[in-house]
Amino acid sequence: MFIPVIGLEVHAELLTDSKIFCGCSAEFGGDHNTRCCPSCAGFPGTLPMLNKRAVEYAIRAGFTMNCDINKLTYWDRKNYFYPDLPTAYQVSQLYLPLCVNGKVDINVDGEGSKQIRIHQIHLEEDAGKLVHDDFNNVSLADYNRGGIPLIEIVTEPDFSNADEVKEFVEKISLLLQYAGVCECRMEQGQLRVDVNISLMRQGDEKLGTRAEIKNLNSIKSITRAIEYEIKRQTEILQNGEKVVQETRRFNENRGTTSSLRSKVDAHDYRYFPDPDIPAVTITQAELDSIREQLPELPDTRLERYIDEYKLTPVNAKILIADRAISDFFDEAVKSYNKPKSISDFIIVELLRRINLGELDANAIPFSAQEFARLVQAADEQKIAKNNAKTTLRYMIETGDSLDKIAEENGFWIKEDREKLVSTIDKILAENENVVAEYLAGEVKVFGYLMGQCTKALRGVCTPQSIKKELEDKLGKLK
Amino acid sequence: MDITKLKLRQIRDMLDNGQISCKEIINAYIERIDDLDGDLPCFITRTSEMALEQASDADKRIANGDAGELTGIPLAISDNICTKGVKTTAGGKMLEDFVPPYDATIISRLNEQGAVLLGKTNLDEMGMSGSTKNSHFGNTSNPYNSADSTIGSAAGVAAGLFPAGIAADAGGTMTCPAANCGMASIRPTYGRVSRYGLIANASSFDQIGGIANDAHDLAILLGAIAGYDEFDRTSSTKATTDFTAKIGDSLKGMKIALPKEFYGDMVDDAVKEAVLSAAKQYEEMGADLIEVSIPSMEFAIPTYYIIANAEISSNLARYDGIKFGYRGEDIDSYEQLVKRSRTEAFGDEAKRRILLGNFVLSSDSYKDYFEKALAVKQKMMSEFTDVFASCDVILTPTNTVNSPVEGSVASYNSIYCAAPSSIAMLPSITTTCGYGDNGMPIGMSIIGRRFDEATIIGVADQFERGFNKILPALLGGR
Repeated sequence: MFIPVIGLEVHAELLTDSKIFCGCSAEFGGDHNTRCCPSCAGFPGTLPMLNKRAVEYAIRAGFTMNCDINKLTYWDRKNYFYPDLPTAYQVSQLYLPLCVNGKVDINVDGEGSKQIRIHQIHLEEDAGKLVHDDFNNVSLADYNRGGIPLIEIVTEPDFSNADEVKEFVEKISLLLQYAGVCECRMEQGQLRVDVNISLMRQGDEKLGTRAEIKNLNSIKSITRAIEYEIKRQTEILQNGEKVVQETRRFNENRGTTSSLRSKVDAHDYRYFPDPDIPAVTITQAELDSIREQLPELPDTRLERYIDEYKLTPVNAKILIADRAISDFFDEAVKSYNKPKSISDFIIVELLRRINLGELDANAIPFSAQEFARLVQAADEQKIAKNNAKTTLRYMIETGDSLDKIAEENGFWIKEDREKLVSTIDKILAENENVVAEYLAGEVKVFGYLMGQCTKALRGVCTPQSIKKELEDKLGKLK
Repeated sequence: MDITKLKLRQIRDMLDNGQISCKEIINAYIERIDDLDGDLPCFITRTSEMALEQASDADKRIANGDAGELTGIPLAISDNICTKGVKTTAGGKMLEDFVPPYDATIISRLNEQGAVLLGKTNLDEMGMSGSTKNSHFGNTSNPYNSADSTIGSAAGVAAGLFPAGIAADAGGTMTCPAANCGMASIRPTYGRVSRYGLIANASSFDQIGGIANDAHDLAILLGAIAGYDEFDRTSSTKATTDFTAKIGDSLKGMKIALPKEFYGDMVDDAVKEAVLSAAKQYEEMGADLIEVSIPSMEFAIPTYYIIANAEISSNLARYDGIKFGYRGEDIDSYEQLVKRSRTEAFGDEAKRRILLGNFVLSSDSYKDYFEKALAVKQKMMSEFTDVFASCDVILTPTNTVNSPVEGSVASYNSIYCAAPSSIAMLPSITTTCGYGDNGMPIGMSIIGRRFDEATIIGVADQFERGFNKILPALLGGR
C-alpha cells in the first residue's frame, strides 16, 4: 500500500493595473505585443522599477494565508534561456521571500478539517507567451504577459489525495479573491498549478522520488493529473521499479502525464540577488495598514451567516463563494434586516440570472439597497411574488428603478380599502347562492369566492387583506 | 585662438558673451575630427549633421537668454549609452546595428539643456575593460603613446576632438584609460547618476561619469547629468549639490589618507613616485597626510571579477538573437539560434566572462565564490567607512603601471588601484600628476566619502592649478 505525498506550487497573477517593473498595462489580452515597452521587452539599458502595489498585494495574500512577512526582502535573478523570457532571467525571490510559514485550513467531505502549511509566498514576474504557427512553421513571441506580477504559493507536501488539493485550490482562490489581489480565472491562466507528487510505503519515513507536473490550469486537470500520476507511480513501484525524478506535463486529451525533462537535464538557475532592484524594507506600520484594509475573510463570514443570520450552511456557502455576491448580500441586509429573505431572493433569483449569463456579479446595475427594497416589498406583499421576479428581470434588462418598473407595469398593490369593501360586497351580492352554500356549512366554496375577489382586486389589495375582509363579511352573515 | 584647445567653461563664457556662435564652435570641432580622428580613431558613429542642427537651436536659446550650463557645449558619448534613433553598439558585433527606441536618462537631460552631440565613442564590447582591445570596431590609440590602446572618450578629449566626453566606469574602465591619456575623469558615487539607458556591463559597479580637461569642467558636466531618476531605482534620491562648491577652498587642515596597500609591490615605482610627490605638494598646501590601511585590498581583484562576471553572465543572456541584435543564419531550432548568434557575435572577452560568471553562480560554487565576494565587498565598504572617520579624502595611484598593458591577466591585475573605490561604491576623481619616461601621463585618484564629490573635485582642482600639463606629442603640435 502506498501513500501519496503531494505538494503544490501555485502561481497567481496579481490584479495590479500595471506590470511589476514598468508602467505597461497588466490587463489580460490585447493585440500581440501592444502591452509592452523597452523595459518589459528586455531591451539593452533598461532597468526595472518595482511596483509597490504588487508588493502590497503579495503581502495581502500572505495575510489571508496566515504567513509571517519578511520586513526585509529582495529579489533574485533566476537565469535560464527561453524565448518567452526577454531578459533570459526571471526576477523572482529565492533567498528572502516576502511571505513565509503560513497555514490554510481546508475541509474535505467525510475527512473533516486539515491544515496545509504554506512554505512561502514570493513575488515574481510572469514570462511572455509563445504562439506556434504550425502553418508557417514558426514560433512567435508575445510579450504582453511578460512582467505581469505573479505570486508563487509554495506549500509543504501536506496533501494525500486529489480531493484535498482541489479543496485547497478552491480555498486559496476564494482567499485571493477576497483579498482583492487575483480573480483566479484559471481559464485565463490567472491561476496555474504545479503538482509535486511522490508515493511512500506505509510505515516508511523517507519520502519517495517525486515527479513534478507543470502548469495545470483547471481544477479538473489537477484532479485527473494527480489521479493518473498516483496510478502510474503505484504501478512502477509494484513492479519493483523506481520512479524517476523528473518534470512531467499533463495531456488533457488523453488524461495522462508524460516526461518533459529528467533531473539530469534540470536547470541550474544560477540564482543571485538582482543588482538592479534595491532591497525593500517594510515597516510594522505599513503591515498594519495593509492588514486593516483586508476585508472580512470567507471563513469568518461563513460563521457569521450561520450563527448570526441563521442561514443554512449550504446557503451560507453559496453566498460566500463569490465575494461580490457576499458583499452585495451584506449591503442589502444592512438596509433590510431579513437575512433569510435576502439570501433566498439572491440564491433563487439573482444567482440564476448570473448563471444564465444575463449579468456579471461584479457589475450589478442596481444597488444592494434597491434590491433590498424589492425583497421587502415582496415580503410585505406590496408587490406580488411573481411580479417581484419580473421586476428583478426588468431591473437587470433595462437598468430602470424598482419604482419606475412597478409603476409602469401596475405592480404596486395599493391597499384601497374603499374599493376592497365595495368590490367584495358586489361579488357577494352577485353570488348569493354560493354564499348560501357557504353559510350552510359548505366551507370549501370559500375558495371560489376568494378567487373571484382576488381576480377583481389584483393590484388593489394584497391577498391577505382580501382574505381577511372576505372572512369578516362572511362571518357577519352567519 | 584655437577653439578646440578651450576648456568647457571657457566655451561657455564665450558663447554667453556672444564672442562666438555655437555653430562656429561645432564647425571647428567637426573639422578637427575630420583631420585627426582617422589616426586614432575615437568614434564609432559620428553625428555631425545632427550636431549642426543642435548648434543652431543652441544659438537661438543663447540669443533668447535661455541658456543652461551645457547649452551649445559639444560632447561625445560613449557608445554603450542609448541614444534614440542613433545606433548604439556597446562596442560589439552583437549590437552592431542596434538603434535604441529610447534615450538614456542622461541623454534626455543633456538634450533638455541643449548640449550638442558630436558622436558616439569607441569602447570595449559591453564596457568590458578600458582598452578597446575588446572592441569590435578596432583599437583607439592614446595620443600620448600609439602603442597604448585606449577608449574613444579619453583619447578624444586628449586630442581636442571634444572638450568633454561621457562614459561609464566599472572598476576603472573609464578612469584608468583617462589617466593614461592625461585627462581628468570622475566616477561619481554609485547611484549619483542614473544608469537607465546604459547598456549593462556589471550592474553593481556601472556608473556613468565624465572625462574632461580638468576637475572644474567635470564638476559642470556632473551637475548636468546627476540626480535621482525614477527609471533607475538604484539612483539616489539625495539632492544634488553644486559640485563646484569647494573649488578654490584652502586645503589647510585637510586630512588626506594614503592607504599603504596602494603603495606596495603591486604598483610600479614610477607611478608611486609621481603620486607621492603630489601628496607632498598637498602637504605644502597645508594638508595633513596620514597613513591608513584597507586590508581587504588583498582580495580586491578577485572580488571585482567574481561579482562583475556573475552580473555580466546574466546581463548578456538577453542577447539570444531573437528580439534585437545579431542573429545567426541558417537556423532550424531555438537552441541553434541562441548558440549560433552568441558564438558568432560575442568576442573572446565576453565569452570568457560569461563562462567565469556562470561558473561562480553555479550551485556548486556559489558559496565558495559569489557569496565570499559579496562578503569582501561588505568588508571593504566598512573598512573605507572606518578610514573616512579619520580623513577627508584618500589619495591613490590610478593605474598600477605607466605603460601599455599586454595580456588578459595583466589587464585584470591593472585595476588593482581603481577597483576598490568602485567595489565600495565611492566617488573617485582622477587627474594627471606626472609623466613617465615614455611620455605617458601618470594619473592619481582622489576617493571621497559617499556623495561627497564636491570635496574631491576641490582637492583635484587645487593640484591642477600648480601643475603643468604637456600636450600629446603624437599630434605634432596640432
